[in-house]
Amino acid sequence: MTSPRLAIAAGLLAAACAATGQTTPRKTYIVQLADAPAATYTGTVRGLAATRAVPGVKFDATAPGVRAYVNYLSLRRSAALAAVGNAPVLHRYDLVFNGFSAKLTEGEAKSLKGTAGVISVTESELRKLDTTRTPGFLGISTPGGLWSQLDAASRNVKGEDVIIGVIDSGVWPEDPSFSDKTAGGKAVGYNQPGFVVYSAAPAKWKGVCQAGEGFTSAMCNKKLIGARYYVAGFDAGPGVLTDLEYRSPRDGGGHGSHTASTAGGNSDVDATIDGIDAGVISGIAPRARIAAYKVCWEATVAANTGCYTADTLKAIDDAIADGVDVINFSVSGTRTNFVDPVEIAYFNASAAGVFVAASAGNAGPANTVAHMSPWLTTVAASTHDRYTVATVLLGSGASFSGPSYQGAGLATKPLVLAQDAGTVAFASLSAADQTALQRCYNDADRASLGGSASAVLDPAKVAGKIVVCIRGGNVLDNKGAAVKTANGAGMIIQNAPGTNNSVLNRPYVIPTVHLDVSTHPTVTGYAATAGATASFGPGIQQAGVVAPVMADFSSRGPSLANANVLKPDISGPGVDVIAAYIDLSLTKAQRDAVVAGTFVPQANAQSLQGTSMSSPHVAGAAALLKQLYPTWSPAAIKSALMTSTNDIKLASGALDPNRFGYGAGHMNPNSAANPGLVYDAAPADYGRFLCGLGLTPPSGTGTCATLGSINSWNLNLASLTASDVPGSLTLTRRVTNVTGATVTYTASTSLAGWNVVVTPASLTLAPGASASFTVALTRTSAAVGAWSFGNLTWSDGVIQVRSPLSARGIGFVAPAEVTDVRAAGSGSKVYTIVSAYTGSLSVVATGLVPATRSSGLVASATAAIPTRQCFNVNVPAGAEVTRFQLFDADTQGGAGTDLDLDVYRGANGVGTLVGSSGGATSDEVVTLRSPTAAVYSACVTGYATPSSGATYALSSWVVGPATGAQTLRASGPNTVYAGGAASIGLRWAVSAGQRYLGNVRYVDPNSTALGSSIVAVDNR
Amino acid sequence: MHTSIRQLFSSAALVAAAFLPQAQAQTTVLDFEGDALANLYFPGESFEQSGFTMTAGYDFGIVGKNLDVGSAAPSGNASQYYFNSNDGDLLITRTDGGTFSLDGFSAAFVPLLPAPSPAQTIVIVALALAADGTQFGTYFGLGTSANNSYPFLTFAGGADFGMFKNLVAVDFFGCVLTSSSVCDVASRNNAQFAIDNVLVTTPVPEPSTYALMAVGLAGLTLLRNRRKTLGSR
Repeated sequence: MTSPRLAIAAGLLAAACAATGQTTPRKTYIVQLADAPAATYTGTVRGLAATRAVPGVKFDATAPGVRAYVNYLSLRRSAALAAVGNAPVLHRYDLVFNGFSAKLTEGEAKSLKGTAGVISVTESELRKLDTTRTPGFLGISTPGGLWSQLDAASRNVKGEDVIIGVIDSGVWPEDPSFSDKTAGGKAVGYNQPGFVVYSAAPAKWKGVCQAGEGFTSAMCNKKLIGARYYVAGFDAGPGVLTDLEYRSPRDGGGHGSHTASTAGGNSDVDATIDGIDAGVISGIAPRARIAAYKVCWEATVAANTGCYTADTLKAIDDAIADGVDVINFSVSGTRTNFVDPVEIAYFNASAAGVFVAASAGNAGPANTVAHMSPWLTTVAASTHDRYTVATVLLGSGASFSGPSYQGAGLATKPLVLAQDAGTVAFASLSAADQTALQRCYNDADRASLGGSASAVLDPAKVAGKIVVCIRGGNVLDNKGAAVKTANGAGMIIQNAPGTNNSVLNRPYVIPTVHLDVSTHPTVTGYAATAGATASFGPGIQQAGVVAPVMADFSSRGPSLANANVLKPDISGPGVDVIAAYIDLSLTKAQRDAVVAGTFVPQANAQSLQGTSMSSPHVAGAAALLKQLYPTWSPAAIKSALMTSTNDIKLASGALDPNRFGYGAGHMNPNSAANPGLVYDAAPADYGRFLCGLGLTPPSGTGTCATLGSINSWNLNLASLTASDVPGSLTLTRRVTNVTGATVTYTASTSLAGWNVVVTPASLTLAPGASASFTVALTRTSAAVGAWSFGNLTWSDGVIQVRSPLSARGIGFVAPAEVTDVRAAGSGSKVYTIVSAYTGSLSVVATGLVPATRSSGLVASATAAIPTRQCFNVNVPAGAEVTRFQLFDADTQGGAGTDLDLDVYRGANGVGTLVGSSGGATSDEVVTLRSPTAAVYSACVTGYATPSSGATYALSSWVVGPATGAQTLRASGPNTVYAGGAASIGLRWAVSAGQRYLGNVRYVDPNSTALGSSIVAVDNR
Repeated sequence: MHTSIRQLFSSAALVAAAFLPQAQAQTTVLDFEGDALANLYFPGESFEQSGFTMTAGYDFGIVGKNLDVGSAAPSGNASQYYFNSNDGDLLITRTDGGTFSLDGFSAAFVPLLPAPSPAQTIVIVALALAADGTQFGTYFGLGTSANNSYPFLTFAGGADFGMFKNLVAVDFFGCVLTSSSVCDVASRNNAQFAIDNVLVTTPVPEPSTYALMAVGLAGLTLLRNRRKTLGSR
């Protein structure tokens, strides 16, 4: 167990033991039970009718049948809980995830894993928050845009009566984004006088407004219709809440208020960022209702800040029960596991008809995309075109312009150079202090960059004035903070000869304009004169800004779980997004007064960036579509959003060719409202997809035997992706006509280096009708191993239904390992390879080699017994494979003992570490293919053993070079065909009762090695 | 369900030999049982059972039970059988060179996964060489399956087998038929099947048939080569 995360967890666990005096430490586990959750239950229990939603009808958690089934689940859960005695239960789940979370010992967790009816037992994990002009940038607020269109009830398409659930860090109720009132045409906070402009919450709403610290039921209203919080999972972990947090739905970090207001915050909200006017902001679905589910908490130690999966699962469960239509989840998640509890809960949310948008992650530009499940809409972040420029008018009459975030302008003020506004005369300062003063360093900057207290700005010389600070040295934001501390009224950041000459559009704590170096002589010359003055015009949006451009930080694809599903799905604005926030200036005393109800904090806004900010843009757009098409499935909405996208650009203005940044492209809600065709998918389709990967679909979806399976490239997504094409591959899709007329669509494709044939090439569909088609891909000039990106577009001459089409060719596919565990000395096996060429194939078998077993004894904490033992193994030239392996079955204490394995090129545990294996039990394996000839050593470490130590047997194999007849024989096909599979046959005859290893190599007619498959036979 | 595919092979017809009446007859089931037979057979390798020689052709074959052939294992047969891989064939002759008749067999399609695209329907062909030098054959449909695991189907008796008399060899292989019932579509290794319980009847051979054997087997070999040429174009 060498992972730092696990090591930290173990350390904290030890501390918790000491504090509570418990002998057996407990951790939070999420236990998944076998019965289907209510959202997908199909009536398989005698006497209990199906409770899952019928297509096109939303799941109703209050239906009598649902209650009956939930009662049944609760009985079944009690049975499982009885097996672990009095384990403290944190949450019970029954709608989208059947199970519970509880504090369990490792022993209890293990015994539960083996209990009938228990599907999985996973440790609760801490996940992290990922962190205007966007309605205008997206075109929805412009005349003719989606907001001006009408739904069937003649209401504007602004999210009317659609409920957006935001699972995040809570909500700051004073923000006008979350109030049901307006005054003078502007939204105002719940605590302000105004007119209520919303009707009662829609009838489908069943949620609550949960009071808590600094949050009363009066803070919910007809806009913010619900708020809940979930802290049991956090409290069960090592974290401690900061003294500015609130045990209530009130937002302690700001992230949740930002995402909620971006998705569904009111329009016409005057935003101020820490007191500076930042213009008018609006959510994407400004008439939607908002329900906040707080699962993310600020901890005293940053590493403990975040959102526990145990709490998140309960929030998802409640959100579905409450009746939300759309969920935004701007929180990190798995990159590889389709059956992660949170992904599965969202699978079932989707089955209940709820659209879920999730953030792709902020670990870009590396290949790190999270939330890769196909039932989620995974959102990348790109720029928008907000770029506001203001004019600086000097008292001399000269005027210049530069980027400026402030929206109101600044009336004429005295103008002063920072170097003339210190407490000590500039000429008498040291060189370091002169630099610090010219550049407006704050206290922290002088401590880290150089400079003394003598370089501080003098409030007597700065108050009420505009200060000219020279670019360079410290962080730009700190210049604003230094001027504000000295009570300055505004700031000019002046680029100078020798400084970086870029100009940036950023929010500062005081009104600021950033000027380039060309203005330096004039501005500094004038500001040095007595009586100098200046004024700022308001920041004005500039034309011709290149956007959208992918943000560097946005996590890129391909999906690390299955590259045949394009991820991320879509991109939205996620850079410099201004939305509602919390007032971070509150002192502890003010916070306590908020809790006491004696102090009402201010509204605030902030500019943030992250896929956390882009995801709620998509959630908001989905809410608009949900209003227009209440019966559409989440998959249909996702398809409409994806097939209507705009192009993403490079900073140069050219098209960005890398689909793995943005998936289908940049969201375009206006076109998404009229998609023409959609690629729909039902829970059973996702179930078949999981079956095709060898995974078990969530209970209620059906078993693989009844569902069947599909290849992952054939899931009916609006993206077409083939990650490993051996020559050619045919993909199938199905489209549904969602227009009101019979339409004929014709296909066109583009994919460089590939021949693409769509069959049929034309589809005529009646309203509501569906048709299947195939897309045959054949690699022509594209390089093996390289991705090509293009499009499949269905067009009726008006609507373009554009899907991303991506393919990568591969050379030769063989299984990495073939295993056989039948207890007989001789055996046969057949498996398949896939070729990229047509011709002959040479198949060469080496082995089988029986394991060499070396016995030992290690202990994790007993002085008399070593914690580590190393065994030397000579690997000769020409060896094909060497493997070192430990088995629970060969270890004293079995899986309850944790041994780890490290392999070095060099004897006695010295030399280069060439492989290590550190799982949670004693099943460890290190395999080296084509190892360099040398003496290797395999070192066994007792990570967690009984106090008397654990005996074990280390198995090792060296396969090859082959000499003489081999006990493993292999025969390949007479001929392999490009893009075609072929069977390989194996036969071995050895003594029973051992573990054997062999290797099969594949060689083409040019004697080029194509790959190999390890053959592992365990016939004990 | 069965159609003569004689026309395909007529060009390869050999010189007719005299028909020789049979004396006593004994029916044998070639069931591929016994540990001694369980093995991997490379193309050209043979094994014997009950006086018959079975030879793997073109691609390898495996004798075994509950064979692990990936997700496409056939169902309905717990005993040992012969798995014919890829585009291979199984040639059955009498070890002593005598004649026999074919009365039935069981077989299951073993699809190759991933399957070639577009989907193909595979049939099993029994192609016989008679002692008189004529060649003829019939194909047998292998049914359908929703989950890639095909059941063993038994074919025996009736008109289908009436013609398989006085044979010196019979060759089993899979093929993809064109609409005119000709094996003229590339199966691209997807002609795999499992075969078991081949019913054969042996008369007491007349000495004059031995001379024909060499000629006849040479003919079948040529024929197989021709089929492969057709199959891969």
